[in-house]
Amino acid sequence: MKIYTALNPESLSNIYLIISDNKNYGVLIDPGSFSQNVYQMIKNTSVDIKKIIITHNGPEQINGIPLIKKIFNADIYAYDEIILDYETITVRNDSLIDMEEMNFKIIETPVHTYDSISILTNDAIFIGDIFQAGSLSSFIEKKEPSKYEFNIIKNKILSLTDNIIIYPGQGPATTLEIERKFNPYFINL
Amino acid sequence: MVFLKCRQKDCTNKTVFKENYCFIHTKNKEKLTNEIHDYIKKNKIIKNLNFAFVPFDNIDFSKKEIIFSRFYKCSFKNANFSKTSLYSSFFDFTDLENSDFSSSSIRFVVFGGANLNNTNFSEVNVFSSNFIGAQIENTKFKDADLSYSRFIGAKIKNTTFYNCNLKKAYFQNMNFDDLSIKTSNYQEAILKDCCNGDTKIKGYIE
Repeated sequence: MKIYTALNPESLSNIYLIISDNKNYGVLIDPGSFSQNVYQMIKNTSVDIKKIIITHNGPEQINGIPLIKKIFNADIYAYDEIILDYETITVRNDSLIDMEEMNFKIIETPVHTYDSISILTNDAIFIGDIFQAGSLSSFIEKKEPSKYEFNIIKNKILSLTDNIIIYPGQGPATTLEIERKFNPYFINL
Repeated sequence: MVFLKCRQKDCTNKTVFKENYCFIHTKNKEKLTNEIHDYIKKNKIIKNLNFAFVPFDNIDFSKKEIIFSRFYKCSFKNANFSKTSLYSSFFDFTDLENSDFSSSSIRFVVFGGANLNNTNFSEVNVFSSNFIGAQIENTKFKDADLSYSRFIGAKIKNTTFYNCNLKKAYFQNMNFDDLSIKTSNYQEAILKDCCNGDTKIKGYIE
């Protein structure tokens, strides 16, 4: 399994492409745009996009879907039943999404929005906007998560094993060990 | 990046290189280390491999491409990464003291918790990379593009940021003890509770 990252040029959010080792199929996470760099990322890998998984229903996560759907016959997996005008395959806690040798487990993490989910696959987790490397979900809005939301992060994400790699919706990747040791909001959790 | 679990009972580490065990549980570490160094020497592209805990002191990685690889807790003292291209790789908690990254391209790379003392980052192109909690002392960032990278919780001392692009680079609770930060576009950085000597400095977000 390989994980490629492209940046949404408008919002600078991350769009992830996960491809299986035999390179036939790909999964897109949060295609907030289908700009030239996203197109190029898919083209370079020559994969058929079979599934789109949305961490939450926001423009930075979904705006590329219509163009992608014109090219690929991909199913959309999300918490919400409808994304834009597309019917989704709804997912909840512990839902499993399988494709070739890859499997994705859904963890409900309603921190940033009510419909936020995280996606765990092997040693990687895609957390959408529930937090970012070294900080919270948004450093522009000064709103901190509530105690309830901190507990979700603590119990559902920070409790995973140290060698899990975290792929946030914004900013660089990180690891659970880095976040536990250095994220100022998590040190005392 | 998916690496298999070490076959040693109760070990949570991943298998190293092309072995069935992690480096810690490899019986002949010296032989494996030599094999890995030989592999690095002979291959221009290092892709999708786990090297956690392997020593790489004084090894030459210059002009190589390192992609989707993990180097957790490796030692790279005096290693040469000049003109190297690094993409989506992990150097978390590594020891990179006295290493040279000049003229390298670093995209989506994690240096969290690493020791970057006396490291040369001249003319590097760093994009969206993670220096969270890194120890950065007597290090030179010169003419470097550090945009969208994060230095939260990094311990920075005697380090120059001369003529760097700091657009949306994120610093928190940091004292830039060197005036060189003023030669960079720090006004476009995210500076939370940062100062330059005794003076608070402001980025585009405080």
